Amino acid sequence: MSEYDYDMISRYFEGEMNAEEKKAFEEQLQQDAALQNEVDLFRDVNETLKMKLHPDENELAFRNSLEEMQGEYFKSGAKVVPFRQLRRWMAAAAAVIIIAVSMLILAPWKKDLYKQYAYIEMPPVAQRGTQADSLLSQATENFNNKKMAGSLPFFEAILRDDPQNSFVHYFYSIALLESGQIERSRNELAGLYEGTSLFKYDAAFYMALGYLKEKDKDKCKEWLNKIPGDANVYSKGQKLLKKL
Amino acid sequence: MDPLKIIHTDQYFLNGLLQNDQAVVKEIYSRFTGKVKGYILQNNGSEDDAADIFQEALIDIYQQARFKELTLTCPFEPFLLLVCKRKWLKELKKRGRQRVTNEPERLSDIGEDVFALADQLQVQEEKAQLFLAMFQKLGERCREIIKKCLGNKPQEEVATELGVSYAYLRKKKSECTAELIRLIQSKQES
Repeated sequence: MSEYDYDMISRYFEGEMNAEEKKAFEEQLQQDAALQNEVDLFRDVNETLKMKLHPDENELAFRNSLEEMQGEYFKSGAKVVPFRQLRRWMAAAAAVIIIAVSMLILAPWKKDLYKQYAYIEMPPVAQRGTQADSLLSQATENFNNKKMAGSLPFFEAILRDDPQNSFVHYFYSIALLESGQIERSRNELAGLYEGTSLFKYDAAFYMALGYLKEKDKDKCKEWLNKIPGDANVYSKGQKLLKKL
Repeated sequence: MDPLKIIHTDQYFLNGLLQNDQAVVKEIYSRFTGKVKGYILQNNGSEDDAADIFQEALIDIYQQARFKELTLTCPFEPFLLLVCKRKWLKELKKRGRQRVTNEPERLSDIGEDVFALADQLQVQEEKAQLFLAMFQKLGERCREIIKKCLGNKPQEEVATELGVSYAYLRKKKSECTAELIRLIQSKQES
């Protein structure tokens, strides 16, 4: 099939043909099975890509409601309990030991250190009226109102269209961290840290905070120490190091 | 689609998803998450895995109900469970994990109509994944042009946004589409 024909098919679907052209095209379609196949595939490809790459406002609102339910019905971060083979009382005993040990090692009375350092707001969006901007402003609104889970689908929609956007990756990773999806947040942050964007060391800082949230002080320090002296977050990182 | 298809009374679940009806969404979560969780936890998965699979299944069902004329010709519960189970099996395969202990297809109370509908969903989803994979093979400029043209925006506006003339956009889009279709056809024939 020549390229001219794809333009023709596309004009046919967009309703850009005049009556005469349309009639001629439909007549040809009737007689030409190969053309009919091309047209069917063209329509299928277009519809499918639109479905997968261009979620509209309705779908984003739908995903938003799912995201809100997720936390209510699934405990994030919960892993399969490896005690299946143990007797119930042994599992219970182990749990008591774990709690006792974590009281000693992890010092839960220090837990608001995380909150103190994790606080961040997204800068306001300069509206230019494109779809990406409207998504970003919705992500920002949710994020700054502490509706972290609610912001996730908007970030995801932007990243589908613009997977290299490190600004969005950065705030997305924080939203994941704040909504308790630590593993996913870590994947995002690791990507940023390995890259060369402006957010490289900010990502290292939030990586450290992720470990702080889990009371893993060693890992937390390890990440804080990766921040070099000329980075913006260096002094913040050093302050946190001292408190640890 | 086939006008003889008989729509199941559970179609209200799909309608509720399409209309983002909070009560229906909540009903779906409260009634069905337990079973999906149970199955995945028993088969080498975590609660996070169960959460992901459940959400992905609902999004697939939503998208196909909206764009691919999926209607419910069987009860909703076994359909949703089967979709989740198949997704989880696929995920396990991807991770190269152990074999699953409870083969889902052996569950006795699943009717033919449920399998048929789950098959339909799976075929459509696999096709969509193929289209997407071929789309990713295109050059960056082609991907940008096709993606921008998928929206409902007038093509003249898209041309301005991309900083090209309308005629150039049409020509380029036609070339990119031709390449995409050629890639898809070569995959479908092989």
